[in-house]
Amino acid sequence: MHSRKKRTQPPTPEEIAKEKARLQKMQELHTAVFASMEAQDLSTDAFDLTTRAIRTSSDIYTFFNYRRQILLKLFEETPEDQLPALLKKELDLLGGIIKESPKSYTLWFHRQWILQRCKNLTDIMERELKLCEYMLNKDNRNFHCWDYRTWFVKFAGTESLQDELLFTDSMILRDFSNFSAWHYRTKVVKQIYTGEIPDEFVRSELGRLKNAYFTCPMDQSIWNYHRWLLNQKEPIMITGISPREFEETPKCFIIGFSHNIKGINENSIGVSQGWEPLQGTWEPLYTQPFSYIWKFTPSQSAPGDIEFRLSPINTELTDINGHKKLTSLQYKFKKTENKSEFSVEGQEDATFFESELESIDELLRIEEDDRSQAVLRKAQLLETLSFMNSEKGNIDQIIASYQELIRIDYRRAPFYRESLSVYNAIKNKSAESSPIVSRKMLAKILGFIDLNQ
Amino acid sequence: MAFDKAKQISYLLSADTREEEDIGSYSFEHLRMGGAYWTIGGLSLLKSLNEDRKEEIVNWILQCQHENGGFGGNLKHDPHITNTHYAVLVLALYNSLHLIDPDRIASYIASLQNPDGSFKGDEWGETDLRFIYCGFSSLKLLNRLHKIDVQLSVDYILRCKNFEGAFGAVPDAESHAAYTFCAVGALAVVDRLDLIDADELGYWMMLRQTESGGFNGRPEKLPDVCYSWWILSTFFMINRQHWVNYEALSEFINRAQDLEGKGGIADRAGNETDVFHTFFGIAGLSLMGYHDLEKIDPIYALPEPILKNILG
Repeated sequence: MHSRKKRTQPPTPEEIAKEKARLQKMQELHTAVFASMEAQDLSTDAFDLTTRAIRTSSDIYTFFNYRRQILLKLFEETPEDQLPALLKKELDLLGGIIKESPKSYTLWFHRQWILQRCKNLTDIMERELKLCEYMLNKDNRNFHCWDYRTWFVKFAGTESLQDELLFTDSMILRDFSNFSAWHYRTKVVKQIYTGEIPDEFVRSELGRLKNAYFTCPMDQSIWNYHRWLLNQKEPIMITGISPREFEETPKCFIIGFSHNIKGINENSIGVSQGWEPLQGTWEPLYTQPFSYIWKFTPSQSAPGDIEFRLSPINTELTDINGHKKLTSLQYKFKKTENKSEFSVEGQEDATFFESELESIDELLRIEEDDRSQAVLRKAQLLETLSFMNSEKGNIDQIIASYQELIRIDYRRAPFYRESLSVYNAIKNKSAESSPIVSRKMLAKILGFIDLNQ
Repeated sequence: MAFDKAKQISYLLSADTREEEDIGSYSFEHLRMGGAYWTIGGLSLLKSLNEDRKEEIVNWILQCQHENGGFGGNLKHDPHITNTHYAVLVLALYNSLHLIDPDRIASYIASLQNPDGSFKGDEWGETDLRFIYCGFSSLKLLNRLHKIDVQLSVDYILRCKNFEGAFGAVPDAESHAAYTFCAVGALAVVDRLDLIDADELGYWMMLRQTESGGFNGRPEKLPDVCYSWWILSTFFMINRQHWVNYEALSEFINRAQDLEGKGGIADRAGNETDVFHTFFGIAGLSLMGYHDLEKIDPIYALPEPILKNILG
C-alpha cells in the first residue's frame, strides 16, 4: 500500500483484461488452497499447492500456517539424513520469494521457523549473512532484514563481533545516512565493550563522524550516533538546586540532574551542612522510579544560613538506559537572607566534548546553508560543557544557538522556544512566565522557579 | 489545501463496493478485518457512521471467529491476534461488544503470551511489540487484563527500548515510530508511562517532523501520513504534543488527499490513496482538533464517546 504512485492515465482495456485474468487465476488458486485446508489434506499435492500460493501471496499468513502443518508431517516422515536437503530446498524457495517481497513479515518469520529446525548452522551461516547483505544492498533500511540479521547472529552464535563491526563499517561508508547501520553499530559496540568504551575507540569513531558530518551536515543519522557516542562519556551531573523549599523545616533540597535516574540514596551522594554530614532521605519527584528531579529531606538540620555541600560518593548509578557513572564534581549551596548561591567545584574531563565543539564550530564557519542539525548539536554540547563546569559551556552561546534555530528551522520552533526560555532564565536568574513542561529542562532551572505553581 | 470532508465520507462509504472494481484490490482480501476497522473507524470520526450495514458487518465479524476464540482476517483465514484486536475494535465502534464472549477471546489472547512476556501473533510464534499492544488493548476493552502477567510483558517492552527513548520491534532492533506507538500505547493501557523518558522520546519524535510538515518513522526516511497517527498519538500519551507544528502537519495530510478522483488519503501527495492512510490521516486531524471531527483517544484509537461507554 505504501508508495504506490497515482496513475496519471486510466488503465487501457488491455491492461484491465490482463489484470483481471491474473486476479482470476490467483482467486482460483486461493479457492483450491482453502478447499484443501478444509479437507485437512497434508499430502505432497497440497504442499505443492501452498508453494504456488506463497509465491503469489507472500503476505497471507494462513497459507504459511498450512504449509508448516504439512512440513511438520514431512519432517516426521523424512529419514534423518535427508532432512538437511529438505530444509535447504525450503530455504532456496524462500530466498527467491524474499527477493520479490522484501518486506513481508510472514516470509522472514517463516525463514526463522525453518532455521530453528536446522541442526548444522555452521553450513548455513555464510549463506544467511550473504542473503542479508544482498537484501541490504537493495534496500539498506529494510528493518525486516536488519532484525533478521540481528536475530540470526545471536541464534547461530556469532563467529566474530569484529566481523559484524566491519560489516557496519562498509554499510556506513556506502551511505552515511543509513541509521539502521549506525544503530546496529551501537549494539555491536556495546557487546564488544561491556564496560566503559575505551577513549581510543571513541576517538577513532569521532574521526569517522567528522568526515561524515562535514560531508552531510544535515544528516540526522550521523548526529544521532554522535549523540549516542558522546553520551557514553557523559557522567550524571547535578544541574540545579531549588532554594524555595529551603524555607521549610527541616531545610529540604530539590535537586535537578542531567539524566533520568533512579535509586539515589545517602550512599550515592553525601550532603553536609558546614562540615557536619546530614542524614536524610531521597525521593524522586513527579515520576518514579526514574526522575530528573529529586528531593532530599534531612532528618534534622541546624538553623541559620549555613553552607551546604553535595558530594557524589558512589561511582555508579542507574539511569533509564542502564548503569552510568556519577560525576566527581562537588556542589556548594549557600542561602543568605536575600539571595542563594549555587556553585560547582572541580572539573569533569571534557576533552571529547571540547574538541567536538571546536570541530562543529569549524564546520559552521564554512557552512552557510545546511546548518540546523549542527547548530542543534552545538547547543547540546555547550549545555553538557556547562554542567561539566568547563569554561567552554557558555550560556550566551547556547542562547544564540537556539535563537538561530528558531530562525532557520522554524518547523521545530516550539521545542527550541522552550529550550531558549530555560537558558534565558539561567542567564537572567529568573524564569519567564511561559510554563516548562519538560522535566529535563525544568531540572536546569530549579533555582529560578516556584515548583508549587 | 483544504480538507474535503464530504469527499472523504463518500470515499469511505463506498470503500468495499468500489474496491471490487479497483484493480489489485483482491490482494487485500486477507486484510479485510483491518480494512473494516479503518473504514468504519474513519466514518465514525467523520461523524458519518450509520447503522445501515451494521447487522451485515457484525455478522460477518462473528463468522470470522474460530473455535479457540481468535478472529481471522476474513472468512476461512486463520485466527491472529491483530485481527482479533481489529474485530474487538469494530464491534466496539458498533456498540456490539456484548455479542461476544469476553472470556473466550481473553483465553485465546492469554494463550499467546510467551514465557519472556512477549506475545506471539498466533500459535506459530512470530513475535514483536505489535502483538503486546493488540493483546493489552483488547483485554482492557474486554475487562480481562487479569488473565495475563502484565508485569512480565512490561519488562519485555522495556527490553525493546533504545537510547533515544524510542522502541524497536524486538530487543536490539532499531527505533521505529510505529513500534514506539505500540510500546507506549501498551504501557499507557496498564498505566506504566512512568517507565518512559518523555523528554528523550519527545525529542526523538520532534526530530521526525520533516521539511514537508509530515512525520517520518525513522531518521532520514520519507514522511508518511500514517505517522501522523503513530507519532502524534504518542506525543499526546506523553504530554509533549506542543512540540509538534500542527499547521505544517495538517497541510501535509491535506495535500495527500485525492480531491479530483475517488477521494481518500495517500501516504503522501501524488500517491494512490487507500483506507489505511485515509483513517490515519483523519485520526491525526482529529487529535489536532481540526474540522469538527469526533475526538479520537490516543491510546485505544477509538472515538472518545465510544471509549467512555466501555471503560467508564
